[in-house]
Amino acid sequence: MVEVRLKNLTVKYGEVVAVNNINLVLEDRKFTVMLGPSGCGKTSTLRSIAGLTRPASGDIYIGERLVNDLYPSERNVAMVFQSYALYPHMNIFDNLAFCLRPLKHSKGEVERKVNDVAKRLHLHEFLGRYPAELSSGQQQRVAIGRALIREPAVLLLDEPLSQLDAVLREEMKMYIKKLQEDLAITTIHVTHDQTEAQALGDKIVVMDQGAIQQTGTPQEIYNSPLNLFVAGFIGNPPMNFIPGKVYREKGELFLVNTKARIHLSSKLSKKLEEKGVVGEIILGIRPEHILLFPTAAANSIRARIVEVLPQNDEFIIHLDCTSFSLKVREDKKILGFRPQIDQEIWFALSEEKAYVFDKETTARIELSSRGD
Amino acid sequence: MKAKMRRSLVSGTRMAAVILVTIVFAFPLYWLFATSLKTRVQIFTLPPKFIFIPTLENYIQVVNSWFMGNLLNSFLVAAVSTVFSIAVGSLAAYGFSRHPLKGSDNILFWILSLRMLPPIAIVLPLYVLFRTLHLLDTHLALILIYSIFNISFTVWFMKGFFDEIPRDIEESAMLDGYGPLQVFYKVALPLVRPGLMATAIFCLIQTLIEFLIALILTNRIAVTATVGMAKFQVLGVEWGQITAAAAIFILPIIVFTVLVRNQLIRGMAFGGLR
Amino acid sequence: MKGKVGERGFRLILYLPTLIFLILMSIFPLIFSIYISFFDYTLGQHMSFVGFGNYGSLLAGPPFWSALKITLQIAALAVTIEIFLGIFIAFLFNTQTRGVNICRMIIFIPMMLSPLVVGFLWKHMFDAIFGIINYFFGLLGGPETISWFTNVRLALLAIVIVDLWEWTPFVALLATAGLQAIPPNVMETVRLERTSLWLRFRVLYLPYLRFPLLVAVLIRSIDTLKIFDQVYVLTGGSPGESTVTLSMYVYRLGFNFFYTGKAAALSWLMALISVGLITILIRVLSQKSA
Repeated sequence: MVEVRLKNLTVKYGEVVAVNNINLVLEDRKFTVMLGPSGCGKTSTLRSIAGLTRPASGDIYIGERLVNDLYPSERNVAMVFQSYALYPHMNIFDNLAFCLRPLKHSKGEVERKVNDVAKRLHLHEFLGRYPAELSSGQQQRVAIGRALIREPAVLLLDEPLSQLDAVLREEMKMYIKKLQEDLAITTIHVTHDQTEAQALGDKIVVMDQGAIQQTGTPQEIYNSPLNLFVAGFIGNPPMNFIPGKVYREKGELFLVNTKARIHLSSKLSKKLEEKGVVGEIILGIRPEHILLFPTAAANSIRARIVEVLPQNDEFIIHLDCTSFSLKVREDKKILGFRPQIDQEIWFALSEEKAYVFDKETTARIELSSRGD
Repeated sequence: MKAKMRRSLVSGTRMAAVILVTIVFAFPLYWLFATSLKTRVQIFTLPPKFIFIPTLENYIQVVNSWFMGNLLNSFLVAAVSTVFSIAVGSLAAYGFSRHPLKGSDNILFWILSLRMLPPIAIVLPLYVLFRTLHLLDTHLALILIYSIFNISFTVWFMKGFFDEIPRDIEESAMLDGYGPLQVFYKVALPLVRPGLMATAIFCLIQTLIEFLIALILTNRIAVTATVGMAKFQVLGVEWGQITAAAAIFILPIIVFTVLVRNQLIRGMAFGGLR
Repeated sequence: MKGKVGERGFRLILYLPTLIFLILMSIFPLIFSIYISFFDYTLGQHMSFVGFGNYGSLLAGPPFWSALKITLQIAALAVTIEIFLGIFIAFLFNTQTRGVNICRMIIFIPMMLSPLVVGFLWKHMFDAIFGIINYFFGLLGGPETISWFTNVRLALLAIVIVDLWEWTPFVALLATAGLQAIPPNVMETVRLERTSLWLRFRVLYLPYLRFPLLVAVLIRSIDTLKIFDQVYVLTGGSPGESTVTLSMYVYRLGFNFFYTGKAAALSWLMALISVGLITILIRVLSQKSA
């Protein structure tokens, strides 16, 4: 079990830079998830580690070895593909046993190992069948089994769950997580699905446009996003952003956005002053941190309901606030009433939960003693 | 680093092998063109000259000889046969694709066999028949025979292209009120235009390079380029002129080949080139 | 707007021209050919019925068997070597390195050229005294004046070499198509695992090569059995009769001696063999698209 280190890694496809000079340590025995939208460079990074893609520059260390020029088969890594990539002409037993052949195990040993893996992955009934006869979930498990059977140093997963239906996906998430914990193998999992990342990762690496936006635990990423991108990417529905200008009137701070004026609480105002924040900012607030009132209340702002989406115990409510819009997540019971489209409603922000972002750099402005 | 060197060595060796193989296949072509640019003396020397001062005298002689007439015959026959075959064959191809008959499979089989039969089997009886009809040594005879092969090829080749048109497009045209003829003319045909081009080029190439049938059916008037080239040999192997004639002849064929490079597999599978 | 032509009428328009033309130009003559084959017919002279006499005398005579043997030798040797070389070239060229595409294009040219032109070209290159082939042999330390066309074995070898030059790229083309059908992720999985070359070939490549190679063998076989143009130019049948192929034999019978009846009989036998192979080819082709 080893750690993987990337130093100044750059991957280019022709003139297009897919991965731009990143530095990363993927810890030994940990489940690291690389998360980001399509084209952010996460898959290119993964493939560079495997040796399937040649980076333009940079160094890749697997354990203590510099593997830049080693062929994929010499790196002792295994990969599970989105499409499973099972050998269609061989049955499951042979698919699993195939990679053991060159290691010159005796026939008995091969059988034993295959059976072990098959049992662990609940595949022992299927050993005689062919890939085409198996369901997606089963094929998925065979792909995983094939990766694990030769006990690689690193396990790479390239969006393995994206072809599965919702129920199966949940099952496999737990499955993979438990498997990794049991085996304690360094695992790198690539996905664009942030709920998957949150569920699986010991550590999440958020990428966009070839650069690492933030690394941290799921908690850290969610609660302390470093910039606008990370804040907006994580969370469902995503964080609301209200651009505006910080404006002082009669000793009070307001956030002014064309027509709307949000009175900022004294606590928030004090923090902003401390940091010397003036001018244009972007205020970020998560949908679950907005309070709704059927009638005007202290410090609340008027808005109109545009859309209501019921979700289990909650409503997702779209608000039109003239110069900006908000998505709000509210527990049905707490709300207390049935929201109607075009209904007038008042909202207030839980300001201790608000984030402030610099408009130019999109970085979050750290307001001290945030506490969570 | 050892690994880096090894990688470069492996990929370097591979490229070297690729280039070597390419040279093996390209060299005779080069030699053809080179010989055509040599004087008689330069051709018949030992050791063979790789560097020499080129001359156009062979080309001039060929251009002034009967060969140009042969070339014209070849292109004329090829062009007419191709146009005719595509016009007729595409209709049938469309039929097999969209309006199949009972026993279409058998008919298609028969048509493909025609394409792949030894030409001698077809030429022989037709020679006898043409002889009776005084059609020997005429362009018409050649056009008729070549069209057998070209139509067969066209039917098979174009059927594939028609098959690829999604049925939805035609069905929606029919819902709009178009009759079957118009659907063919306005919808299907425009969509297979690239296929028609490729078919035309294959037919042209295949007809131009044909030898045996032309050898048998022509004598003086309708002699094609391939047969005409053989005549240079009769006068005591004039390599300079033969290669010059060959060079003039194959240049358009090479151009055509480059044009259809994407359809090569399909074209070759459905009728190879004799 | 109402279709002026009904479905039925439309079908007629589609099929009729083709069918009429093909039937007239091929079925008719072919039937006529069978008819002639039952007669002792020398062109321009009187025909007399001999039943299967022509077939009999053909099969009894050495020239037929000789021609058959020669044709089969050429076919077997050429096709076998082409398959192996073709696979090798397909693998060799199966890379994304710049320039490989141009190289590929270049090696596909020989198969599109006129076999006649190819024949002439190689005749020149195989020339005993001035030929470039002998020159290269000399450079490599061998004899410098190999007379290719006066020795039976060498003449056949020369014909095979010419066929190799022309058609190996064709096999490579088909094999390449097979290789490109391999799903990239399966290929990459193999790259990640330590496997021997042979194992890799057997498990990954062979299943995808089976079909294209089968098609290649069939098409090349059908083609080499009819071989004429190159042989006519390279050897004309010599030395002696030792490179007379089936097509050439028919040609001689029919157009040198004008034994039309016999020629018809032989061309029919050839046609039958071809049809056999074509049937197999079509079955194989339709199996894949099904």
